[in-house]
Amino acid sequence: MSQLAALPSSIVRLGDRVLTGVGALGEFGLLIAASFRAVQQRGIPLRETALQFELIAVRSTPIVAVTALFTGMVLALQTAFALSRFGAKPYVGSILGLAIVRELGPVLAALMVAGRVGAGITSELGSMKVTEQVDAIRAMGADPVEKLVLPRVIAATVGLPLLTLFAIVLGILGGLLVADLQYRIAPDFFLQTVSTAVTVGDFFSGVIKTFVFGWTLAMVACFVGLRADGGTAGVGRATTQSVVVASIAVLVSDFFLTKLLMLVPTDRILISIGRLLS
Amino acid sequence: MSAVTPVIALRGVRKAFRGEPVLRGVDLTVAKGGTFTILGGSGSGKSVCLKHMIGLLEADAGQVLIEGRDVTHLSESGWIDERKHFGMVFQGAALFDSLSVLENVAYPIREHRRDPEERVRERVRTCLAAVGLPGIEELVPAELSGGMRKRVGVARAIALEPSVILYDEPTTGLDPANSRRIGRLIRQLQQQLGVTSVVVTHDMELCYATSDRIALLRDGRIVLEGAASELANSSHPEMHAFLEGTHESQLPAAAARAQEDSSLA
Repeated sequence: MSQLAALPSSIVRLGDRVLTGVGALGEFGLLIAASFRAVQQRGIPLRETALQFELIAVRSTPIVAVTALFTGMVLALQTAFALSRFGAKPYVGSILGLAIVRELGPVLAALMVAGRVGAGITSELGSMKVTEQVDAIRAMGADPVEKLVLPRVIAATVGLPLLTLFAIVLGILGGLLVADLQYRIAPDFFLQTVSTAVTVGDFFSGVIKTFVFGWTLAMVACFVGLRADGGTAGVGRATTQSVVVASIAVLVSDFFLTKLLMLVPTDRILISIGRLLS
Repeated sequence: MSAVTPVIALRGVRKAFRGEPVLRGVDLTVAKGGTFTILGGSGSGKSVCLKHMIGLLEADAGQVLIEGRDVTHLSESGWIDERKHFGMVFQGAALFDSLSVLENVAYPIREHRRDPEERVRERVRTCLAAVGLPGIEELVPAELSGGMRKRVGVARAIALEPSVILYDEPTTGLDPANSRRIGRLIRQLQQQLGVTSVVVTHDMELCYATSDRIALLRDGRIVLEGAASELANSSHPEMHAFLEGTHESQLPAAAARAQEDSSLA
């Protein structure tokens, strides 16, 4: 009897969770739609976006720099160690270049920004929500999506690709330092192996993904922040949730975007564009 | 009520949070001019009631009318126009922490008018003087006391010269002197600006000091409504129960929590 009684209640709980999840997805969709509508109707709030660009992108450069530099360094150590088994140590630059340009630069920059900026956005908007500041914006006849969401989402969408470029340069620099100091691979040769291995297409497929990452992580952070309730504890919960969801979203979308971009002949497209322009 | 179209009317408004009903069919009519007070205990749904008047919450059932127009299911962009005529003072003042007092009070002006900077500053000066806080433009909200924050909140609410001002628990968290000062301010603004004020409170002193009409909300319904002068001396059982606290709210705890979540200070 007790098992029978337990079964429906667990199904009810499961059903509740599914409904809550579907409801949240629907609300997320509505927020995305509202953000596009706000751009269409009232354009981009330039002043606030510039301010957010400073907070989101410019102030993320130190953390992205340290992450990229040390990842490049450790990757050079590991790659050279592995390649030395096949006597191919001098080609560490080829593998490192491809790994950083195609994958590690974009993803590490995105994860660092998801942690630093995602948490910042969610806790700020969450605090504004629970102290009724978001309601105050609405009560004064303004649109919180335009005032709060758009500037952050645009700043992150534009800022993350720039941070990624920066991460790629520093990652390769880190690799170059270790290759030179530890394995006596001449910097010239190292850079030559990098540039031979990495095509313009690799570069684009790496950087293009980060527009999606930047947009996704800021959108998630804003959404979770604006849904926060239950006082300061609720803001804390929302902040954790935001970082977890944004990081997972970056990693999962990375796989599918990479797969998708592999189907597109980026190199050929870029060469044709280059020909058209010249 | 009178034949004149009421400024705000709620007709059978119902609202539930997470399945728990908070408003169970609220009917009330706010006439033009004067101060209308919604009285009720904690968790009775009075802040929820107020938020329906300015579209911060959407009714599950029933009607919200502003000057006779049905605004119950107005879109957010439709509300933007309506809200220009409203000022709202929030429970915790809800000032923007990142902006100075000047920018807080100027916010609605900059949002809706293309005034030159000097004119905006002049208007902010006037509003701050009206609430008795001249010359604090450059301070930030963190530097203000609770009473000052509330008054800056009032200054922001009157910045666009609204025809209706909504006050959500204006004296909560204030000492008696500051509470009386807010009460005088509400009365004074109502008389000087000729606005219609709607006050939500459980503070009886404030209620009698400011109100022209009073409605008592209990368990999500208006149980008593009348002129302040009549109710002040009334021995009506509902009023008596509210004052003596003998009529504990029968709302389920979850509903009270949901309401507090939605109107957290």
